[in-house]
Amino acid sequence: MSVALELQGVEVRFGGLRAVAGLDLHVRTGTIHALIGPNGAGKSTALNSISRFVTPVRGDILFEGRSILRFGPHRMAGLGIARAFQNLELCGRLSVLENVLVGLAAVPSRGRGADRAAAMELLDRIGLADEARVPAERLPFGRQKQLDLARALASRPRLLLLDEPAAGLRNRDIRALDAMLLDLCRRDGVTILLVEHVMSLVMSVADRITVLNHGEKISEGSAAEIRTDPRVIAAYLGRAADVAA
Amino acid sequence: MRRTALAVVAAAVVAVPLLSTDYGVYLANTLLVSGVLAIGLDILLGLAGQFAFAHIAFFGIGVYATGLLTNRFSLTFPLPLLVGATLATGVALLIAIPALRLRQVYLALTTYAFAAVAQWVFHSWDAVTSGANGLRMSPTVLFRWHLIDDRDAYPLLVVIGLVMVGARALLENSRLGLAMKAVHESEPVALASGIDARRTKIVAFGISGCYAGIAGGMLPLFTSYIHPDTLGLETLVGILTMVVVGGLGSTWGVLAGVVVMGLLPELLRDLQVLRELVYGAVLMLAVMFMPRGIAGLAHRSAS
Repeated sequence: MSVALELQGVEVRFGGLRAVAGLDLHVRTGTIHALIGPNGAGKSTALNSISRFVTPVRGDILFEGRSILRFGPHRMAGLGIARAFQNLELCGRLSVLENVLVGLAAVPSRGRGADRAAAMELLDRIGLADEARVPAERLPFGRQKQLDLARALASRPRLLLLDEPAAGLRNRDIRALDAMLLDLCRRDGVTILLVEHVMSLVMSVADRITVLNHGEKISEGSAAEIRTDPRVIAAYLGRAADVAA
Repeated sequence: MRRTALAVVAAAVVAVPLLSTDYGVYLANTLLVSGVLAIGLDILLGLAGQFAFAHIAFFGIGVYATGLLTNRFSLTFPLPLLVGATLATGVALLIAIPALRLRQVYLALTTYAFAAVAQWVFHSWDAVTSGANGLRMSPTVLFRWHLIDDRDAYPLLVVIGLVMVGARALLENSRLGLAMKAVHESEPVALASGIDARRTKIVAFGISGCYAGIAGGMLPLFTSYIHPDTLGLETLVGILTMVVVGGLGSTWGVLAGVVVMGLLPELLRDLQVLRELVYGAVLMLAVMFMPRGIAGLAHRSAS
């Protein structure tokens, strides 16, 4: 099985803090790989280093076999790596449709009409077609997160980086997200790297899970293996119940 | 609604030279120049969201380049204007590269500092600009004709104005325009979507500078004299006021702002001393009660 994404000894520092400390990671093509760990474990920072929003001081990051460290963040979408954001990050005053059109920036234009049709198709898939003309900031929270995902998918990525897509969603929406991620992976062959706190989602969709604590990898394996790993339970302390759930 | 508005504007444009006094035509000409200046400033402020204030310097470059080329070489219109616009665009791009490393108030101050330096150059470079004496500009040459008065210049200014408004509409609906809006709204989203935020801002700066240069080139079509004192903070704030009162990011709003804030001093002329006071009060009330300008007001009443 080929490797879509490989991190080799990646270290990210913020001043004196080692947010990510020598992380090795292999994400296999066509799988859903989850990155979990307590708050401050360095999950989001690891994700930000892959989307090139932060630059590691050491190590290398390879996408489909070639290093991406010499490229800026705006080159990632063109290479096939898209990301969604943890906190609501949208073009709030632009319409829902325009937000998806922004996501098409990395794809060569096939003309205005064709671009709009492609964007509408995506909106249809996530059930936002009726709100196409509404300013994005007027959507309810959960719908805004879906829109962020649709924007990221517009560039037809081969690797999708998701930073807590379930945070703040209601259970019903989490189940829909669950189905959507599986569909994206199994049907469209998108490789997904997922940072997530909602364990029910992680346990049901992830093919493989990496656990971080204090910027270091403390465990890796399938959901069943992670659940029983004493180091993971120790890292989560009182939150062991979450992992077992 | 939109059609009616367009018809009214078209009728006004045609009526000006037929019905108005010489002074009225002159006023219309200055509004056309302000309109192109304001739309250009709005591309940077309203569309790309970059608070940069070197605009008046690019306008000055346009005025002096056009005036001097006409004076010295009697070049026919539109050559001097095109050279001036190219020069203004080039300088704008050169300024943008270092300036856009900065943001918000730092960007505003740095670009304003550049405008102040440019004004000092217009003031001090006697050999070229004739410095503090101001520059007398010969009438525009259009092939065999010389444009002597405001009525001669008016149709040309209208055509230039229409072209610039049309170009703004094309930009709005292009991928570049959308990229500018995305950079304005959220730089992380723009970057993650594959938009080169830095390049987009530099291009916005260049286009904005080009508009200012063209507006500068329009001035000598009906004005025979330029003094560097008119290329300072006061004029810049005047244009900025038109953009803000009209509504950042809306072409029609900005143009309405140009007409309202451009004609207001004329309406208040009889008030003499009170004039400045009333102008200031209108501006304050506009900012307080119309946060998105005339465009926002029109939008609210329509929906």
